[in-house]
Amino acid sequence: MSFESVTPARYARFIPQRYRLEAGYCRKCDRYFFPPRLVCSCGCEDMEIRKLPDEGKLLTYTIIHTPGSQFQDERPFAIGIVELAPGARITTQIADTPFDEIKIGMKLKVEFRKIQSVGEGGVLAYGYKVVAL
Amino acid sequence: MRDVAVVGVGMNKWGELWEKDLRDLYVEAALLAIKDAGVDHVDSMYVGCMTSGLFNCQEHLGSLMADYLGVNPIPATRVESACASGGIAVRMGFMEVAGGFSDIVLVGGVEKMTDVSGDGATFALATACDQEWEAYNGITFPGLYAMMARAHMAKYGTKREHLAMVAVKNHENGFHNPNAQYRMKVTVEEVINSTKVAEPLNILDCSPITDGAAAIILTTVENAKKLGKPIIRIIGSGQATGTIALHSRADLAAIDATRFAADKAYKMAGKSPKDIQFAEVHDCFTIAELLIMEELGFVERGKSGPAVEAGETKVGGRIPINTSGGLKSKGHPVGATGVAQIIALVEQFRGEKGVCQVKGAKVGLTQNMGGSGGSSVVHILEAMS
Repeated sequence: MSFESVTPARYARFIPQRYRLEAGYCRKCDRYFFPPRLVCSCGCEDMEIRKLPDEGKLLTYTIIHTPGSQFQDERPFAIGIVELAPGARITTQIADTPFDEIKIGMKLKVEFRKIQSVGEGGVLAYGYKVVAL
Repeated sequence: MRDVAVVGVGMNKWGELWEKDLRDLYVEAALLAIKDAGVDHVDSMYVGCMTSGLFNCQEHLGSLMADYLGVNPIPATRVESACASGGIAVRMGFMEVAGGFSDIVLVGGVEKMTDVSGDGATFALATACDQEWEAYNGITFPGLYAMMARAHMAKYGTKREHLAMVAVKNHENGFHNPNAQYRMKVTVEEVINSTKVAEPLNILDCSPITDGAAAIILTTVENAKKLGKPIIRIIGSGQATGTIALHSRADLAAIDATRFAADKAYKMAGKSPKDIQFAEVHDCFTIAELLIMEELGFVERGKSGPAVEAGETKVGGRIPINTSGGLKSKGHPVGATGVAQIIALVEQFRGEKGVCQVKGAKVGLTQNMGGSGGSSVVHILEAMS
């Protein structure tokens, strides 16, 4: 595939979220949005930026055996949906955890990790993964 | 609003069609539909297609298809809503005829998926999910549905075998469909022991990569009578959206957009789930058919697995689903799927389905959706006597 899934501008734009878990928070609804949004579903446009906690609960998961072109070297790998705060969930790889120890409801901790390498030069793209707590 | 009828349908055998180009696929189906309808012209046309840009490095499909169908200068509009592109193209054509803007509209859908490698196709399809917050981290479409399956199993006790039974049923139906890509029967054991894709889903839980097209002709009921065609009306049409990312949904074992689209279609048609005799639904993965049965109101929430096990969705059952073979066996050329679902209903109304015929078929429903449920469209059709 000749298309690159991550370009420098796209990558830099999301550093606050991928490196620091910065989310939007609506005071009126007491609800988080990750990534931050310009408007809450209540219509409020006055959202503040808050850092999400780096621990959360696993809601569901799968083991990927046939990934897209950028993740061919990593297969198989575990990936799941983790809730970090009310309304703030991430789809993220579950690293360093034997597949048979992964259970819905388990506590997980967010770590800063390499996610993929991009383009022919293999430029590294970083972000978050979770590990068993 | 004018009453709208489906007067022509056209599709060819789907599969891995290396010798055919994107435009050939569309034009072949369109010509079949035009001949079937017996119309001498069309006023406007639609092209449902998800991502010819990534699969074939070709955009601007309205111009391309109108040119190669030889119908310039009529208006031609491309519709994209991921895997719901075809179904939403049908809705656009329906609205154009109902609204009085055109009298005869061609609605086609097409996808030419085998020009790229398997992992290239996985990449292209993943653009239907949230690219930055899902795909960036390595999720795939089978992966998203696998997570929905795991959530449904945890919440309702749905069994692995229930998922497999959907594939078994749809292959049983597709075996009898000459246009289906995979005309083979499978067993529960074969599904459960097939190659792992995204646990708990295996390759036989997934719809295939397919080249194909489908087309229909829509016109007013008044025109349909003049053409001497059986009157098959679109009596309900509903469309809705849901969050693009699966992780943003309050309930990971539900597809809200389908429920909202269905509610609108039922209301417009003046029908309820119990009035529907049979349905074609978007079984992109086996779990999807189970979730959709619940959202359409055919079964109580959480009861879809046992209903499939009891044979309720087989031909001859209480509510036959995917008598064409569904996406699973017939194939899933993404943009064509929603249009082909309408064709499957028309074939039932015309009594052409042989061993898969639903006796006395008068009212049917189609459900098509994009991504992990970020968009959905439902149509209800009725054959008038």
